[in-house]
Amino acid sequence: AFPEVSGSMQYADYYDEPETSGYDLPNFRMEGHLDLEGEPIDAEMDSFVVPDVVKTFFVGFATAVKEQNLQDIHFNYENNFNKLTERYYSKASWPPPEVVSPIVGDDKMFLLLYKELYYRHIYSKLQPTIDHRFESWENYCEVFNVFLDAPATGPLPLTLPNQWLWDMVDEFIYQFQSFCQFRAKIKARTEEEIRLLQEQDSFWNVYSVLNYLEALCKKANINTILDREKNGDIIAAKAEDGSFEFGSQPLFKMLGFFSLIGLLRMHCLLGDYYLALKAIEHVDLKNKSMFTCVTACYITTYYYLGFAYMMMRRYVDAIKVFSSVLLFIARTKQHHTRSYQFEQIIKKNDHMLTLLAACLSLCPYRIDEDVHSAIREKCSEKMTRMQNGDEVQFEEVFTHACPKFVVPVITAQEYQDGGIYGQEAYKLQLKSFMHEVRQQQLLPTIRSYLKLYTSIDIQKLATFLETDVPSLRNQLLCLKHKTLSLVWVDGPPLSGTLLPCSDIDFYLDKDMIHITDSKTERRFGEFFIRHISKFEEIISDVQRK
Amino acid sequence: PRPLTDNNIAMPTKEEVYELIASNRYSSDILPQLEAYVGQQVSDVTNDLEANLATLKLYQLCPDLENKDIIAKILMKALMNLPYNDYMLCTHLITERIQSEERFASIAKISQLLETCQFKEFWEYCRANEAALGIKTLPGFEDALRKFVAAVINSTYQSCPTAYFCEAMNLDAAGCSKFLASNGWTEANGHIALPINDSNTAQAKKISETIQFDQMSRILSSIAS
Repeated sequence: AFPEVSGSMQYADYYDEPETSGYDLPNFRMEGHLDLEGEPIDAEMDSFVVPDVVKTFFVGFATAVKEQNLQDIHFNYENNFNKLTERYYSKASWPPPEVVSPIVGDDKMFLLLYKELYYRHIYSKLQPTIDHRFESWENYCEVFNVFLDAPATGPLPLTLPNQWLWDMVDEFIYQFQSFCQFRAKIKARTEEEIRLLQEQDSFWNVYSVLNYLEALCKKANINTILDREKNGDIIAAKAEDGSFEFGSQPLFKMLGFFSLIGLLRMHCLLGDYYLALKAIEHVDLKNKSMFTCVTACYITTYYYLGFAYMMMRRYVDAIKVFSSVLLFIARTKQHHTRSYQFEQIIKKNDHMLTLLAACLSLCPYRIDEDVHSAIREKCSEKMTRMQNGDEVQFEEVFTHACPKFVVPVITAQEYQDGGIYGQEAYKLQLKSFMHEVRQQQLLPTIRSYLKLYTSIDIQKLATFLETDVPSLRNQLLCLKHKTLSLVWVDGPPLSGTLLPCSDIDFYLDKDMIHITDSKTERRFGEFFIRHISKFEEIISDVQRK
Repeated sequence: PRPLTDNNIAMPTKEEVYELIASNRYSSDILPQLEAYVGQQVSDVTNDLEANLATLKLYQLCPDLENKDIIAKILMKALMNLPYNDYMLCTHLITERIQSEERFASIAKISQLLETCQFKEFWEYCRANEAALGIKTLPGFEDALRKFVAAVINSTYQSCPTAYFCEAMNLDAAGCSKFLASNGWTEANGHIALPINDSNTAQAKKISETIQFDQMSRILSSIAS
């Protein structure tokens, strides 16, 4: 069914990872060594012994949540939970909720939040069973319903750190991807599992996932809030109709915002890049304050934004987006070296670097010197191969750096045929990308010849290229057509103007081709300004001492 | 009173379609209206990418309801919107199971020919596969594609051989004269003079650097002291 995809089974194997792999990107879940051969944990409730230090942790954590002590909650979430995981639960699941419940006085809200961590841990370190998947789904529904059902009279008496809110949405989508992959491998499923999957089709249903994200956005009225903030308005706690404006409570505002980014991601995973960009049309990309509170959010947003632009053949926009986030990572990574996310950030960085190299091979464009040297350092070989039209190299880059696309639905026929469908979504997107690559295959050679001349007869050029004049005429038209793209100028990410994006300009007058190379001045301004600022800082530091 | 569609519902207006998409995007209940709207685009010679993508998405999430006639129409309409790459965006949402069918492989073939600007071959293929592609049922198809071809040629040539132009545009001598007359283009000595625009002139673009005020503001304070 995919004759155009070359024999790159090796890359397909890399893509087809076990369902619980933590390789999804960008996904900043708690990483660990996967116990791929591990038995699903089926802890006996009665015999589950909880160490005292863990009991104290639970009590402290639950108290912090109840008292809305944001700092303590954050500390427990980021530090204590991870430390105890390392010490006791690196290969076993945390105590099941039934065991924890009496320890925290049956605190329902805390237990919902704890279960989120409990299942997240299972996905990360162990192998979730189909029951775990269903239970985790139900828990997410309960947690989100607490938010969505919050009465219109006033704020919800709950506060959670932004990092947790982001991780929750991020994990929610990750588990959806994992479930789709699990379900799509019909061949590996037991009869009982297949029966459950077909019967219980409301669990991890793609509609429900999308609807929850949309609902969280709506509850926070996030698009209106973003628009008003862009105009400099302060968000009042009371909406026009007297009800509580949930977007004024940080919990809801950030949850709504992260859900918006979640939609950007979901639509990309389903191949709907247009809708992905439309989802974030109210986000002000120039104002970075919303994103940078959680680094993972910033990187995720720009990754999917850049990838969507690339798949829409808006290479100039993709190049600008990737360059921007790569610069950001380069400047801030020293702050993250001790965070558990550091490895992930570096991995994402490398993936985006290769995607950038691919875009530059298809659409030469001038980029920042720092980014350019990073490419030369890390993937100059790959880039050279792509610039020479090496299809296998393009495929490899795409496979390694693309999102883990999902097959959202399995048809009754597919259940019956019992095959493996997990890669269908990825193959479709790869095919489209490779179409573009192939359609542009002859263009780099023509470009390089044109750069050598200010004018050349079409017959002469045809002889150099070892082709005939009619074919060359078509290819010259193709070069013009392919270098005409939508470029973002202003406004929402989806908008754009059709502009010529070639680094060389040419036209034909009868049989003569006339060429001009566009000259870009070397940019010094940003470089000097940056160094002047740094120097200022050094001087003021020295003066203070 | 508005005309009725095939399934006897009132033909929706564009505003109604967008309202449905905004409120009920993921509900297959809105499919009849969206499908009717596709039919209207065909007869009105209009094109609505956003609505058509919404239709394709519903088929993606609900394969039981997929309608291959509608999908084919959407793809052909997308081609009529070249140079925009609507076609590519649509194919991202259509599974390989459907795309590998002969009818859709044909449409993919003409997309390929158009994207690589093999216009003569494109018209030949259309002539040979007219029925399969359903070109006669798509008002404005030939005009739309001619408009695209003319635009690409105009952005590449300042003067182009008449014979070549006619081939690329699928026009005979009479048709060619008519086209030139209605666009105000002239012909002399077997070559057509094309209007000058930004694309078909090779102007040395000097992209010089402009320093924005907010970049300078960072250091203005230190310069002032």
